[in-house]
Amino acid sequence: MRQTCDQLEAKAIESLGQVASAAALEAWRVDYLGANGAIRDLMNQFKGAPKDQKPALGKRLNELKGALEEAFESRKSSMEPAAATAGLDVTEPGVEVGLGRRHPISRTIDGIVDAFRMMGFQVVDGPEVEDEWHNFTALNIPEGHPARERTDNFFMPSIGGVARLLRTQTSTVQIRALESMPLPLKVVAVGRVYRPDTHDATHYSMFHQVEGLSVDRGVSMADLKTTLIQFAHAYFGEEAEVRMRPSFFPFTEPSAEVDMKMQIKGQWQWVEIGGCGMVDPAVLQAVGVDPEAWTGFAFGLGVERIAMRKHGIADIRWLFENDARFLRQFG
Amino acid sequence: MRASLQWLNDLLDRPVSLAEAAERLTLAGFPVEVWGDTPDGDTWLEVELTSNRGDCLSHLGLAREIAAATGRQARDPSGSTGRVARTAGGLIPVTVQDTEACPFYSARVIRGVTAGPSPEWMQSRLRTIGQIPRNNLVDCTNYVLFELGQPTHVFDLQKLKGPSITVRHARAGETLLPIGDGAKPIALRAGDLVIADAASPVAIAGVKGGAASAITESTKDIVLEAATFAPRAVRSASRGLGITSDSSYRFERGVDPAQVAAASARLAELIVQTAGGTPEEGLSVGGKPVAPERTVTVRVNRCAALLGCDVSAKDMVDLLAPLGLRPTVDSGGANIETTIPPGRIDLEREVDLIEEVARLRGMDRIPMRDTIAVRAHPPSAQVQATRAAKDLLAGLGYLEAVTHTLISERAAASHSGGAGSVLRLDDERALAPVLRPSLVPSLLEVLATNTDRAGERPSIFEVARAFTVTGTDHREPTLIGAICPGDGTGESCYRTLRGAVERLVRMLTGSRPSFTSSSATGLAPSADVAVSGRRIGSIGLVTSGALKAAGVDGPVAAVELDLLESIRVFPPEVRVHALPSFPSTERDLSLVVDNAVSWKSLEGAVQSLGLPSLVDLRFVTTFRGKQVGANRKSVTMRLTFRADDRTLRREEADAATAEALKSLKSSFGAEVRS
Repeated sequence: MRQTCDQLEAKAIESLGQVASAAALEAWRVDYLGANGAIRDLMNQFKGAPKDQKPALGKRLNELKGALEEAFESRKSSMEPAAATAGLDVTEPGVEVGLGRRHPISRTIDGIVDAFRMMGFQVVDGPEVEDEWHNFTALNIPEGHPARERTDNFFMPSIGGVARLLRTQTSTVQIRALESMPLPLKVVAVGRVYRPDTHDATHYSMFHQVEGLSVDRGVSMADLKTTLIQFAHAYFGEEAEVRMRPSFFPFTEPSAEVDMKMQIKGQWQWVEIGGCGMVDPAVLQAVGVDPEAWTGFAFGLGVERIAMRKHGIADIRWLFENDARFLRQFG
Repeated sequence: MRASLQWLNDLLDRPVSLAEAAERLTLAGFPVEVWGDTPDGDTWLEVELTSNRGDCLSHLGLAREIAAATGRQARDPSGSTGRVARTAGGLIPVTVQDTEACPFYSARVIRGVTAGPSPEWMQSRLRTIGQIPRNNLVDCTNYVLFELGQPTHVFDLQKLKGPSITVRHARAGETLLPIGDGAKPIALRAGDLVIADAASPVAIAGVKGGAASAITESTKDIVLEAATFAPRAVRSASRGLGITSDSSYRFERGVDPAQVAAASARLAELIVQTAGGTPEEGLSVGGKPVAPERTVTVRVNRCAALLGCDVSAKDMVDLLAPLGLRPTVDSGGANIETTIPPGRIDLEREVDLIEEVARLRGMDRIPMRDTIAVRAHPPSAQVQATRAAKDLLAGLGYLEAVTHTLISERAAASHSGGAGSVLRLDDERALAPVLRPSLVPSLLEVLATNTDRAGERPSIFEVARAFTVTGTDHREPTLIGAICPGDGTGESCYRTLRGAVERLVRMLTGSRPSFTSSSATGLAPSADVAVSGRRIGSIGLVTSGALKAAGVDGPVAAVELDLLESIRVFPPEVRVHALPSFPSTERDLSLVVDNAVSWKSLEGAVQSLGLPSLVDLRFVTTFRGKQVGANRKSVTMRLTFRADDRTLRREEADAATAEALKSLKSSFGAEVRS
């Protein structure tokens, strides 16, 4: 009888697979699960089975019945006629929800900050309206330096006897961190910076930088390069590469431009994304840190540049027009 | 700087190809990205230079860099002008009144020159680098400028009064007609550094020569000027008078006094070669004595510590020597002492030389490790809260904008709390001189742009700073600003925005905000938003004046919250309470009251009764219309009752509701709406 059960199951499942209409499905149900169906027959035979076999056989019979019922329901629901769901057109669009979007600049900043936080950088902050000490003097840009020309900066009348300007770089936050935090430190600052450029496809008088600073005993350029490659892997992917080219900044020495190889439309390309270097001893001295005991590295990355290359934004002004049709393309 | 490949190769012992020059210069910190061939068979290449390397604004400077990077030798053409005197003793008197502004001045006389076209080889060189050949005398000064990086000038001796030369500051009222077609006389500013003859200024020092003393086709006797002027003096005159030149560009980056005499000799040699004439013996000089050659010491182990890899003393010497330095290792092998060539004014300190080692050795040879040591820190509340707020508002349908901090006077006018509190640029010509006191005008501008372009009225938010002056300091709080434009009544857009603010503040603070009628700048009506009695911002409808200034149709609701005030404790602690075991029961009350009766006062009156088992009191709706009469409104509130220990009986809820009604009737003359 056990064997009969197995054969019946195989046969039933096979014939169910060939059922193609509602009528055929019903006929199948009557044949196997109906009041006079095959299962009922087996149940009737079971009554006459030897007593010692009854527990095992009973279990098997119940299993068989359950399996066929389940197979029937499953087949039935897959053959459910459209009428049962009364005219639902599944190809109609859904109700629009959540029409808001995050701006590409702030999304880019979040991603960059996350990568540096993973590497143990603390996020710090500084004012956008700065004094000349933090924006120039302490950064080794002495009086008379061309970078301090009034025409190259957004100066405002002095407040409380101190000249003020909109910061031209987030490096100001390096000085504020060194003035206020204990060493060693490893910080990253993000924010707006301002330069009186005429607006065109690649220039805007306001943009965003991510600034990093690490000061510790024995920090070297190898640490800087390691940090940058780790960032590149965390942010752009495992295949990203980093290249440094010698350059000049008043507040770092040696100084370098940073290129990273990032994926643009599936192709890996070199993109210049910022500057970096070892903190100039004059900067450390300006904030009372002994450059013989402590060394540091710093870097500044351009947020717009990264966002523009990543998303194929051809004109920097698109970022600041805030056209809803532009913003809604992001996610 | 645009360079000629042939010219570079003239100065190298072995020629370099374009590809090699471009690659090696780029790796050494002088990116070369564009180049091209000339009809004369030469090749030009555009070399980008950093501001500290004024010495490379010449073919000799670039040739030295190529030599150092490729193992070639560079040849200084001014080193072999044997016939021309380099020593003092010239006949024309030179006086330098300010040796800070002019550390070294030299003048040399050549008699009997013949002005005319310069030879073809010289013209070809100049054309390759984008210069227009003029005549042999002018072309020779340009040639020396681009060959050695030394600006020079030629005066017509007959036109110099005296003849004498004085380097002095201009006096009030003095003018100068500069060289150049169509040039107009310039009023010099008292203090501008000039070259003067016995009577008046003949040149703006380091910037531009004057037309009155300029050479012409009939010039026979000339004075060659080769000098160095302090970057600040040249920059001040150049910017102040609005004149820039190839000379001022170089002086602003520094020209070392020690190279001047040799450059003067080179210029004289070229002039004699191309225009004839006889140089007078001796050079007239003024200024300070040329400083002795500098020496700098670099520690080998400091170099290793800074770069993060060992570089041997021998390797350091081999890297530095081709730059014209003369490095020697001390007996212990720990230090390298080296002389600095005069042109390299950027090399003063140990770290400057370490940079040269890193640069010439190749930045690609700085090692990278596989791992990084990390010290973990708690997250920044500000970063987390900012992100959560942005995500929440975006989720509620608001578009995030990033707008400029600087706005126009017109845009700022309706949003600033008084003239003294506004921060402005010190620039009268700026179109947008105001550091915005509020984010709202910027958000309205975004709204206007979207309406104009696409007929849209999106809800918009921004998280950014706003600026005010407070006494002797300024404040720049980070604000969360949002606007919600409505299509219907002001009430509906206000309530839509307020719903978002209630959700946002609840998320940021863990508490429900309270709203109290206020008179915020730029909003009317408006309310203060507060949490636990602390004001964190304002909300309201944008005033018609502000809407008009922005060119936006109303109604528009706006809110601004001070981020840091909102996140004193972030994230707020969440303590759950057990869910109720017994069901609650609700009663709605619809009351007709005067329009002037605020929801807040109705709510307060019921709350103050301390009704037993009242667990929630909620606003449902307000209705105004004929049915309720003029200046009246119908307000519906929902009272929820529940007991913690039993199922509340209907009679208990009814009794409490009746008590509330009685109080509202007596306090506000409320009537139950039929």
